[in-house]
Amino acid sequence: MAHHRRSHLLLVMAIIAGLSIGVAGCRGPQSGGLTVAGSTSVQPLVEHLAERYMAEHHGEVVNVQGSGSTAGIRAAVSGAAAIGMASRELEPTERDLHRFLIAQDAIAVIVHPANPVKALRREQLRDIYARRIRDWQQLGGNPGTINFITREEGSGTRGAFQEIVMGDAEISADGIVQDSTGTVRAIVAGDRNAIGYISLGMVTPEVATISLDEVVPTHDAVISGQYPLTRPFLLVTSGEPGPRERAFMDYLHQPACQAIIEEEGYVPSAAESRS
Amino acid sequence: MVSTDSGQVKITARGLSLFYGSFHALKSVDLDVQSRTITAIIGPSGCGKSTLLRTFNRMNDMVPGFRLDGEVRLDGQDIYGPQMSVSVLRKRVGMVFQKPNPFPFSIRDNVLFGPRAHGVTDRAYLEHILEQSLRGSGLWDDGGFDLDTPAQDLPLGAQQQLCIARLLAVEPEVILLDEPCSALDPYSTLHIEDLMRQLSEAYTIVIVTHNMQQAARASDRAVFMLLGSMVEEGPTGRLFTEPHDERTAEYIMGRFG
Amino acid sequence: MRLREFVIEKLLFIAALSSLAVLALIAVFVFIEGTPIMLREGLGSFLLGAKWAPTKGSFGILPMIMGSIWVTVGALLIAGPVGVACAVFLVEIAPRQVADVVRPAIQLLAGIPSVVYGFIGIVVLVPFIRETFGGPGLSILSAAIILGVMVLPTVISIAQNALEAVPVEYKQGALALGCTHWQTILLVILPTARTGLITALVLGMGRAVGETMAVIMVVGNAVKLPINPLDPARTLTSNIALEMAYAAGAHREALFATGVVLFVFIMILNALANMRLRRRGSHR
Repeated sequence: MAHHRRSHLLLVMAIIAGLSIGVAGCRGPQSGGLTVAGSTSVQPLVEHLAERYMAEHHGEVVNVQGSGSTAGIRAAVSGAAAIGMASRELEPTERDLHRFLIAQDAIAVIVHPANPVKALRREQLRDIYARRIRDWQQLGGNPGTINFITREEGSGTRGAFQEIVMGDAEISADGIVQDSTGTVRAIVAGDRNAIGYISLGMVTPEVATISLDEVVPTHDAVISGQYPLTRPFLLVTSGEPGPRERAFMDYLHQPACQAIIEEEGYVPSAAESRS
Repeated sequence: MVSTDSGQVKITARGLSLFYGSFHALKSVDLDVQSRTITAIIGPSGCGKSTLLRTFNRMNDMVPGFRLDGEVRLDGQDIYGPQMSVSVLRKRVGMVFQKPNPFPFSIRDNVLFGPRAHGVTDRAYLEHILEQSLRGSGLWDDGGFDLDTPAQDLPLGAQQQLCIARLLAVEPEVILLDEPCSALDPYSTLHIEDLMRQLSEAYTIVIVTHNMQQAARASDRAVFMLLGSMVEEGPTGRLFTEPHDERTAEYIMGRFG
Repeated sequence: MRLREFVIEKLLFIAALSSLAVLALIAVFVFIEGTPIMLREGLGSFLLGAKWAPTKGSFGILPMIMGSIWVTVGALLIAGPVGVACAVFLVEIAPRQVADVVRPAIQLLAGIPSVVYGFIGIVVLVPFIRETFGGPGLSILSAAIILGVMVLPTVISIAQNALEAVPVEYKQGALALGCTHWQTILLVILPTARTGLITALVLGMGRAVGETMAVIMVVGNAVKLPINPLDPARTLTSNIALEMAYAAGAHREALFATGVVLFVFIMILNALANMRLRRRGSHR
């Protein structure tokens, strides 16, 4: 048992070490597969599309790895990955990267289905997360302390939420922090006093969405641009993409892929550019 | 050596048979153990002498497959009967083992272990018990031991004395000794034998031994066991010089021969 | 033949050395990455600072240190008594047939992936605690209970070894003095096995400090100094695991520094356990 634990710790440390060495050091040429790394929000979608791509383009291999937006962007810069995935807008220091929009994602604010509160204004949402509103009663709901759930520091979803909802206000340190969409959803599904935010594509009937500034987060509302809480799904490359990268990225803009993106609950980039 | 009630019967076994599963360890043993005397049980290995000894304080009970026929009485009271508490029986009938087994505590905590377990809390009384028991075991006079010394740091002979002191502290009536000297050097052995002699003035002592000389030297009465049966019992001097049974004679001859 | 022996011995030696080298490399790496920011921020304000806002330049990990301590101590308060009691039951009381079933079942607990523990925690334990005691449910108490169960196999198996190592002569000695079985356990067996039992707790503690996945899921991860067991908290491990993927620059360094603190924590615990083991070894 002791050995088990110790080796576990070593493993974690080794992975941390390996990751950072990988990110910092090796710029080996891309041999064999095309590596796409980054945001765990973008990952399932790109994985799905990459499978199709490989089936249609015999001999091409695409590896999709989820490690987070920032890590993905860093991997693209260092050359550890050919393409980085990000679920947030690029920061000023990252602007010299080549940016390629594949979809627009809406962030839905979710509560327990039994919660009578169905609509919030953006300021109210901000005040909940800044801990200025503490009880559902203040919002016309049943009395009970609001358990607000946020994502971890650096998450693309949190980044978008911070930018669009919080503005300059800070998310209170009292908030529960979870590092995946699944756990946020599971907690909200089990707690009548909880509130959280997840990608619209991941909403299931276990939780209820809240309308924001009187706009219900529906597909149409996102396409029309009425729903305020959205963020881009990006692919990035360091400099102009090479022919292999270009081929894959262009493939994602084909109508068949855009249709799949729409089916998955996201807004295809073509639709966004139409609006 | 003869004290007032010496000669009275302390322990009686009648038709005592003992089984471990299908193994017949004791075969219909009839024996009277006399009060305030030293009774030695002798016989070859595996003859059942330790088993017989352990029926007197019910230390065999936990052996898997244990079964007992006949009866064993202590002062006339059936020790395997429903009225007898094992805990009380073992306080009255104490035991010293082959290998000294003091607890890994200090000398003091070893001696006072029994009284404390049985609920004595009065400090002065505990100190009194401590001194009495150590005196009784001879350790007090041997002296020079800090009572807070870990028991394991004592020489083996003194450890065995400590085990006796630990026993005296619960004020037993009978002391069973299961080859108490087999792990000790000759000097410590004699020391323990002297001690037994002194203790027999106040206690009934039953000793199992391999050592014929020891039995001859240190016991008042002797019991010869063979293959689970009691062959012969009598005063030690008589049993060693004029055994009634041929098998006893053969064994004693062989051992002395 | 001699040459072969020699070669095999050297090969084994190299194998042993390589695991040591991995340890050394990891230690050096973590320290190189983590110490600069501690020195830059000042060790005091890093270890005792209560505000953690790494993207805004505040790097205080006191809430995480306290979180780790609360959760670990809580886990031990649960796993200690239950684990020792369970070991006593297995070694002293349970009939062989029962022990033969219970022992492997307990070891099976160790094989359950921590994600599964975390999931059960979120779905069953957290709502239970929220409804019974109030608060958000995601809390130190939840994490301590889940961790306590996870640590149990470690505590039980080491405690069991310690109890089995108590010579049967001691037990006989106590019984022959008229002690009941229970008195024998309480007065002789437990005190004799004491050092081994403490080792069991220390090793359990080491495992509890290092556990990550299940804790992240149920502890709430709020960066706040906890004041009662129903508060959410964040542990050192969950801090690293939560933010590592996204962290860059000073933030990343601060996470490595968190790793350094954790590393030192665990080294101290293991050293304590080894000292205990060695002392017991020389005692026998």
